Amino acid sequence: MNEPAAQKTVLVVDDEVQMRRLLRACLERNGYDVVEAVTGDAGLDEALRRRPDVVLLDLGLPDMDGQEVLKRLREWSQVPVLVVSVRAQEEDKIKALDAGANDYITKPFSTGELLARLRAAQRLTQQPATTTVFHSGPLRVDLTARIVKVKGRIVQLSATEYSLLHLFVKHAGKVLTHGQILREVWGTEDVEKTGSLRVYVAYLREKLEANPAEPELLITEPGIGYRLVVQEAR
Amino acid sequence: MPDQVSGAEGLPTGMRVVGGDDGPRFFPQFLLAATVVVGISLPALLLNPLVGHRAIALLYLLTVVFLALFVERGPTLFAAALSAVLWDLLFLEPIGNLSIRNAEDAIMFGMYFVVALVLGQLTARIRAQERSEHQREAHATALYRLTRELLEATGRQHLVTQAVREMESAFSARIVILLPDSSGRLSLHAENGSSYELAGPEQSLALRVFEQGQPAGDSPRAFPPAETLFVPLLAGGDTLGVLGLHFEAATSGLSAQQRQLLSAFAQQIALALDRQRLREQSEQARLLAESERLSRALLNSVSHEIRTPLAAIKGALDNLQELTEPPLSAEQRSMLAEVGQATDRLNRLIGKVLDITRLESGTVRPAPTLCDITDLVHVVVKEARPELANHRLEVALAPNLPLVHMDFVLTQEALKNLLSNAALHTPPGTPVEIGGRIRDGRLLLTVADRGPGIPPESLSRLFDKFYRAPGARTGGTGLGLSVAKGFVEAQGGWVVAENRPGGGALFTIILPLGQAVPLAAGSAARTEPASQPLAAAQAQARCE
Repeated sequence: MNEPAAQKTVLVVDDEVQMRRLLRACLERNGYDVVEAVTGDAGLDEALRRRPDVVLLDLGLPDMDGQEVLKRLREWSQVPVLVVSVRAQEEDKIKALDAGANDYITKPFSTGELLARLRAAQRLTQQPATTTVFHSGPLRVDLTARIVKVKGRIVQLSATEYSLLHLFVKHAGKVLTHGQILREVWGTEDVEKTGSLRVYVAYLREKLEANPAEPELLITEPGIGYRLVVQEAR
Repeated sequence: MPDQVSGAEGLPTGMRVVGGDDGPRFFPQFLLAATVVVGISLPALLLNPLVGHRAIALLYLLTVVFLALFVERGPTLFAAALSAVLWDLLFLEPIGNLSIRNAEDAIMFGMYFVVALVLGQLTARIRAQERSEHQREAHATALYRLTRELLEATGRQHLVTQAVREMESAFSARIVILLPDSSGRLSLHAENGSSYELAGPEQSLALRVFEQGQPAGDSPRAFPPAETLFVPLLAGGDTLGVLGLHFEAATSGLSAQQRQLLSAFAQQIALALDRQRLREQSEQARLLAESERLSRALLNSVSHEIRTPLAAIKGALDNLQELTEPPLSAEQRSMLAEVGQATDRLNRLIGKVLDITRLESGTVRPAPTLCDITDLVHVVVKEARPELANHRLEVALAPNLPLVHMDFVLTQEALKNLLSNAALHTPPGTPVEIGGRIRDGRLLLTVADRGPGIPPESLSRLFDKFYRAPGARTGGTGLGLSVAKGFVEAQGGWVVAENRPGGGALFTIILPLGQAVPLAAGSAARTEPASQPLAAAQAQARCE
């Protein structure tokens, strides 16, 4: 778990001193450097100055809304952002994800879950752009040859199924909102199309999952969207 | 607006616009005319030897001109005729006879008549115009005062009071204003501020006026003349109410001008009421938005204020459990686990309280999309599995379930609450079955257990907030079932609780299928050629 070779820097933007202390304790024990910011402005400053590898952003900040911080940060930086908030409403999550957050975790959370999400968010940016083969558990997608294999056997996908899978692979580990998927694959923002999306997700699961009724790769994020899980290679 | 004013309108004050027949006042005018003419004849007789009879004619003429300034046209003409006759009788040779010998005198007599006639006519017209002017001014003033009072009125009550006061002083009648109640029907109770309360038969008349939007009670042919007349208050094509005028004494109806004034008054009052209505509506909308904003802010703040320390507790707990120097004893670990469980339970309780608050404040707005029921059930099972760790969970979904139009999250939360309820109230090791099927155009999602079942006396109160069936285990929040019911009902469905034959409880979520789409319908897409070059694949995807 520790990565002594290159310590990753985490920027924690949260106005609660207790949360910052606890996050610092947990993150430092797990091999991260921690930078703290109390306000949105300070957070943006630190992001610019320290160039963190990942940002933990609380939405309820004293000076500006966390969504606003996210928006401004995304104007110049692609640093992975994990939103940590007590706001559990789907619309808050969707808004943050659409504004460019990589993931969303609701307080209170277990540290185990937080660390897992942190690793997933970082992995996204660690993958070199030249990666052409994606692995997750039994799934193997060769992006140049457009070949999809499950447990070594080639799986035939329709064009739509493939472009959907391709989108998930490009953003592996990240929650994609219904809106984002519809825009990318169907070229529409019409939520009425969510039906088609659900149909194609069902098809993909049938072809890729060991048990389509209990998917382990293509996970539903209720009310928000889907996530392609990156399982460690076995 | 015609300028004609009938002679019957010599009203003493401009403000009082209602008047009866002015006929009786005519008589004194004739008397006055006769008296003056006869009275001037006496000095004329004395002057006659000094100035001659032609000068006397001029004196009479002067008298008629003066009279015309004070009396109506009729008496003026009467005075002219009387003075001509008197002149002829008393001053022209032969005296005491109407015949005229002298041609000059005949011309004089004729001229005199014409001049008196024209003069009478002219003065009468000028005075009529003056009076009409005055009347119009009075009407304009009354209307202006009404408009000003209505503009200054704050609130409907004040507005009605002002309107009634102005109407009373302008029409010398008692006024009643009727407005519709909240359901849009005309309330027959006079608005506060009215000076008249309707009697039985008048009520049906008022209702008719409200429904038809036409005045009533002022038919000129009505006999005896109606004492109360009603005009609708119309604004923007809507009838906003009814204005009633009750006259103490029977009247012969309103003149054209009075009607015009009345309709102008009614229009102004209606406009003011309309403005008031719009103001009330926007105020109401503002209040509603404000209360929604407040409740939302409250929800955010409560969830923030309670969940932040909870997050700290949980974070500290996790940190503590990870400490390895020195290692924690088994007892310490089990204590920490207790704290962890209590924290999770408290967090769940807050979640449910927030759900209930959202339901009760009406801020739950279902956003139905087409949903995959298999996926939904799986999500619920995955989330509820820790709670159901000691139960045998069986999922039985009908094959080929269609996509169903519903709010994914609300339905999922409802089903999860039913599962938590089953987990809590049934002994470990017993089975909990989840089912999903379509029956009679409805989606049925069932949660069945083999626990103790529901006491019959509890069935009706089961979904009440904080209700606990007698003998039920503790540990629940008492809110799960009401949240489930609320979330399903928000989507137009309902939840049924019953006891199963053979023991155990059965909860069913019933959602009417607005439009279900068979999941297999899209399967034609699966015959597409597989794994085309991506550009082509995307192009095709866009065409779908």
